[in-house]
Amino acid sequence: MSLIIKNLTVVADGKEVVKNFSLTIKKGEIHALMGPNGSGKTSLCSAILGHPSYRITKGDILFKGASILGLRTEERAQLGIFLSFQEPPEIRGVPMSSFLRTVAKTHTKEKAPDTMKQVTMHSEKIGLGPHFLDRSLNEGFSGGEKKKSEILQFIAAHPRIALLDEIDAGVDIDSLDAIARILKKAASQGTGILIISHSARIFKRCAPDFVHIIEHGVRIASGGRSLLKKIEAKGYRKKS
Amino acid sequence: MRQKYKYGFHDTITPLYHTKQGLSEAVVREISAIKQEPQWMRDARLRALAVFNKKPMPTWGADLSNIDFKKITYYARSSDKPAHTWGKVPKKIKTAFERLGVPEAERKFFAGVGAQYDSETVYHHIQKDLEAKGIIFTDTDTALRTYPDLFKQYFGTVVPVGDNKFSALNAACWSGGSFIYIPKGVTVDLPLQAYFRINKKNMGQFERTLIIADEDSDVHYIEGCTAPVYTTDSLHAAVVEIIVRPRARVRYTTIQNWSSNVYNLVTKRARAEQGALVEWIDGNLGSKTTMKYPSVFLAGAGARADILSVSLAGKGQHQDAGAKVVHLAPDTSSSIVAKSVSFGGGRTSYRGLAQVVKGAHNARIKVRCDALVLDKKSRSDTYPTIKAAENNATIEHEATVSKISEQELFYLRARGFSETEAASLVVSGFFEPLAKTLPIDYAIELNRLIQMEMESSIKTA
Repeated sequence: MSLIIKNLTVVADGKEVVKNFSLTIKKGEIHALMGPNGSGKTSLCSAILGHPSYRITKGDILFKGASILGLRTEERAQLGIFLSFQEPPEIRGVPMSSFLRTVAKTHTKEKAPDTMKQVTMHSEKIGLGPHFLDRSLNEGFSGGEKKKSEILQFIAAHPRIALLDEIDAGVDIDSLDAIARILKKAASQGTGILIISHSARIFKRCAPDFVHIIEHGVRIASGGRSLLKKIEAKGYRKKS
Repeated sequence: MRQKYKYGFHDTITPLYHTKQGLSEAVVREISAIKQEPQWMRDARLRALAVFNKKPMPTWGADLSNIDFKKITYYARSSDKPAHTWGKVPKKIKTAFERLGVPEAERKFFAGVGAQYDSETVYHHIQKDLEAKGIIFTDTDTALRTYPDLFKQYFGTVVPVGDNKFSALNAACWSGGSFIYIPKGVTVDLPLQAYFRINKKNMGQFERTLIIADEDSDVHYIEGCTAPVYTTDSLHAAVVEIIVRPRARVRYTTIQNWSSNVYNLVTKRARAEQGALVEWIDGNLGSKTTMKYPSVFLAGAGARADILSVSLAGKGQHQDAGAKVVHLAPDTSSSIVAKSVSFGGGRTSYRGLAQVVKGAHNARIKVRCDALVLDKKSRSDTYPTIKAAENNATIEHEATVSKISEQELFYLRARGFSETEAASLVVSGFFEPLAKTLPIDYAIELNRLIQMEMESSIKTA
């Protein structure tokens, strides 16, 4: 069930945005990926899901032991790889509730009714009540509400591997606590999680097993939780 | 799932009678004679024919150069008389309608069904409670015979014979259509519904619909069109006239899904008297070429118009649709919302008129056009015309053109939707304002049709 990123180089708009990047996310692990703006975090996620604008020039991505590079985005998603977007688009006229139901059906098949119970229960907890479920997908949502919408989709999709791109941005503290609980529970049930964030807020509530730092598309450091403290104290750049 | 165009069958029914191809004075006289019409109607048909012959083909809109008037049959009928109960409808015709789900629709949702087969209505069923309220809902030919005075009083008063080339053509050889009269103060609780279908190669269909909503009445009329696929071009040139008397309200909903060889050139117009409300809901999904601009003449003070025009144009299709509002009286208001989607090389145009005449003080007009263009091969244009003779009119016009962004598609695909499903989802969402005005079975069918269209477009891309 591991996601293995092997010596990956990604090109977008003629530029190398990820360079020779390697990372393995195993079942139930929580990884933190940090780095300054424009360091390649979002590009890495887009490439893992097969975004057409991101070309892989070197390396491989393996899931369940096989390369996924030949698969379409939806096929990667259907295998159980989930991406929560940094900036989720607004899809007007598509009601949240039916969208979530379809996602649950696609990913959890006959267990969809149970999955939807989870979705409904958590929607209250993170402060996206029933009136949000009647609205169009992300339409007119605030930044924080969009992240909560992503979390509900995460629950509906029940993924094996989740890449969460700034899932904490714009989210109030109470909801952040609820989100952290959701993520920890998912990890305990076997979901491998990569959390991308600028801020230590989320990691205080959802402690990562591994921490990685990326800069200019290159992984410049990896370690345990202790690395978080160093970053908080000194920033991303190692004083050289 | 691979599906052929769902309603792309045609039946082997031979019309009992049809005129020979081509249009002439003799053919028009023949149509009138078969119908045993009064002299005034025959004269009106002949006058209309003269106008049709004199008027040039319109060249300001869609390309109509492939229409060959000589190759069209102007009149055909498949059974002798309109049948008033389902039991009397010929079996073959019934089978075809059953495939379209007419009986279910009737049972579940609708008060009455008028179904047009070939040029003449063969089945017309009026439920008893409609009759009890004094409502007339019948085919137009029957109405001319049964209610000659009412008919003559209103026929051609909203769309005059000489209005345009295709309304003149209709006036010359019209056959079938619905005739509705709602008495004063009567509200029709359920929508009245009619289905139309073309079922003869190269046959024109020229139905004529006349609706009179008397003072303080209220009615919703729905017409849904599905047509079999043919290889040669067909022409559909209908005329719809609606008279909305003071404080009455008429909603007229059309879901047009003609097969991809049909020229759909329809003149639809309503006259709204004092305090009346007209709502046009016009969905154009099918046909090769549609030119249709539902219009409202706001003739009485405080009259209102609400128009929703929605079109979907795929490969080889041009939907030239829009709306016209003419404010003739003070304190009148109108709203036009036009939404179009083009894909696979299809073309949509919004063409509209917003006019305020001298003396129509304090008119309010709001026009909003949203176009969604799915790929680089497809096209969308806007041709709005605004004429205001009073400077206290409030006129707003807003237009947007959008695309499905790569990011939206990627987002939906990252949730496990295929490209087709993702595109259908976005298009259905775009059409949601239409879907929510429709009875549930129409709304479901609309979404199914959108999905089928997206499938065929992405497969052939």
